Amino acid sequence: MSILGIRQPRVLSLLLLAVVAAGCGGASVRRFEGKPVAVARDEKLLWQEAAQLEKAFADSKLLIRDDAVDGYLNAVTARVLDAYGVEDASIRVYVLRNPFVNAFVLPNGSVYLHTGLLALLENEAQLAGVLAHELEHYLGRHSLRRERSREQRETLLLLGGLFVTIMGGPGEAMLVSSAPAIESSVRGYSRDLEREADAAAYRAMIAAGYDGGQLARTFELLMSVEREAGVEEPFYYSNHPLTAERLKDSLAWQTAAPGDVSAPRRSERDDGYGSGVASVLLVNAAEDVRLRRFDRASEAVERYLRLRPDDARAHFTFGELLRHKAGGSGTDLDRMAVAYKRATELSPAMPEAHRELGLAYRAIGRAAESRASLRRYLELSPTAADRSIIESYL
Amino acid sequence: MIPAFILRRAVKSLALATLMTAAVSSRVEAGIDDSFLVPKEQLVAQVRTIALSSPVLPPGVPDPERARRTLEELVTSELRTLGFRVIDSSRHAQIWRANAERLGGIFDSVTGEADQTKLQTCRDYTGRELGRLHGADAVGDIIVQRGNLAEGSGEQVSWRGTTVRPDQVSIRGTWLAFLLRDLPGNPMYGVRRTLEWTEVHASQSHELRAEPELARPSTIQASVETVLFDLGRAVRSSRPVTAADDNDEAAGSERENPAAAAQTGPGMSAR
Repeated sequence: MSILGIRQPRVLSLLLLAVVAAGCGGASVRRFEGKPVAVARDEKLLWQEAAQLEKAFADSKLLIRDDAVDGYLNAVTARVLDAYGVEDASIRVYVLRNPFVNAFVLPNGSVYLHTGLLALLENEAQLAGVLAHELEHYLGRHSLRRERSREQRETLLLLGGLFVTIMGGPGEAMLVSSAPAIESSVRGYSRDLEREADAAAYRAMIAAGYDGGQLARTFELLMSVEREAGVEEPFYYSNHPLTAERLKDSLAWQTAAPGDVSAPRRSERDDGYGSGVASVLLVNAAEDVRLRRFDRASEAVERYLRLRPDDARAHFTFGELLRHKAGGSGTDLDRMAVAYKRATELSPAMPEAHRELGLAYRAIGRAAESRASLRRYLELSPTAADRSIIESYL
Repeated sequence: MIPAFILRRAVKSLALATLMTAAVSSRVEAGIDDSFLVPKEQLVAQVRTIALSSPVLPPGVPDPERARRTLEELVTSELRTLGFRVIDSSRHAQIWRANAERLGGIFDSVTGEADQTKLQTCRDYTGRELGRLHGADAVGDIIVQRGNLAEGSGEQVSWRGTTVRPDQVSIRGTWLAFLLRDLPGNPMYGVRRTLEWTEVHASQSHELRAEPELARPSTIQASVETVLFDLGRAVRSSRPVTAADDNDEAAGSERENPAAAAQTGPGMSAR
């Protein structure tokens, strides 16, 4: 039985991994510089277990597989690695379907970004800052240092139990950062290494030609999320110092080392970030709808529609957002119908859009239009489970 | 042989219980406290009219129709006191039956097992029709389950003045659960609380309740108040409570949570 009450025999074998996700402190360990280093037995074990967890993620439904998004993230990662002066092909960046704001890296170089984080960030510079921070954990072998310090095992156990929940249970989509265990780990880790990673991230951003000031902006965004969630401690980077403290640090670095202010910066709104992660916005909006965070979902869909105004799926998602927000009551039926109608116009072969349009018309009392839409739905989806019910409406 | 209708009831009960479990899991993960599965302000703002489904009882309850009627009347009265408009379960049953017939039946006539796709479809369209025809904003499920009440009794159980370890006591009885779903089927509020004990084994003693299950309205009333307590508190703190229909309970009155005083068995308390 796991700590969170979920039966999972592999728990113990995966616990160290959690360590991994953030480790700090510990004895002196040589930094990766893109060259092979001697790997001791304990680090090999970490890597093996990281590989297991990476596979578990890959086999789960949580991993978002989108070539365009992956390509974009890999390109930004390459720029950051270049700034670090490292060529390390072993780095892999993944996106996890999780509306909570978080990111972490495993000791084998696999970096995970939550959809909630990507939906929150505003531009590529902020993304580069997040990646640079995680990569510093990897390059600095912080997990190994953390493991060797062997401090606060109980925190790691809790964290490990948490990862187990990711892989199986019905609540997998809620993931890591929502759990009290993560929150409790905030105070349990060394702030020094986190600050070190932030500082390294800032330098890497500047070196890569990004606006270093966007690191501070990232912390402001995180603080806004924390305020919204009513938490006093950060749940982003679970083991980090308080976000306000990080914001203060990043502002100080900005003053002390602003970088070449005349150099072109990649922090404009049209810097490619939006289109680079666009599909993630829609995925995360659906997750936010599930959590009934309708305002945030609405913002994401609108942001997506500004990028891709002719995307039928986005209009359908907006209709669904309105439907769930209304809870099935009569509120917003007209706007719902407009959204579904637009989806059917843009993608005439999308059966669910015709069905929802027909049902919205039915609720409004536009009988003839309702019947036409529902007929079209049945034509497109002749074996639908609800066929007999829909037929009774005709 | 177990009659098919009992099997159907059992399956429906199991399905609802599963829904409750999933709902409570979501609540824990989402970090939402007490009985709410969504922010309570959202629920209070969104739900004005509740359509009740027919109370689900475990098989073998004596005079089940009377028990259902009592449960529904008490829940209805409590909800109306809180200012909700309540649509009685006959409306839900009528729409549900019609949809189930259109789908060719939801339960396998031999095994009693539900076709999950049909079940979900029936639930979805029943919700939509309750909204369209009756202005419902949510569906309320009333579920009675049997179980070992000691499981939820905490670390110590007091049996006639003696402390008994929970693993040395068995308190059989019933739970009352109330689940509120929005019309698309998303759980909004879910509670399960002790209803009454029926049989106790503790310290080598055995006691059977003299009365049949669900026979005493006052016991059901106490349990109903308990499962609706958090909802009532949220409503009272969010809006002036004006009892719906002709119910005129004083608005804004605060009551003690009956759960605090609830006993799980004869001479028995849990902490």
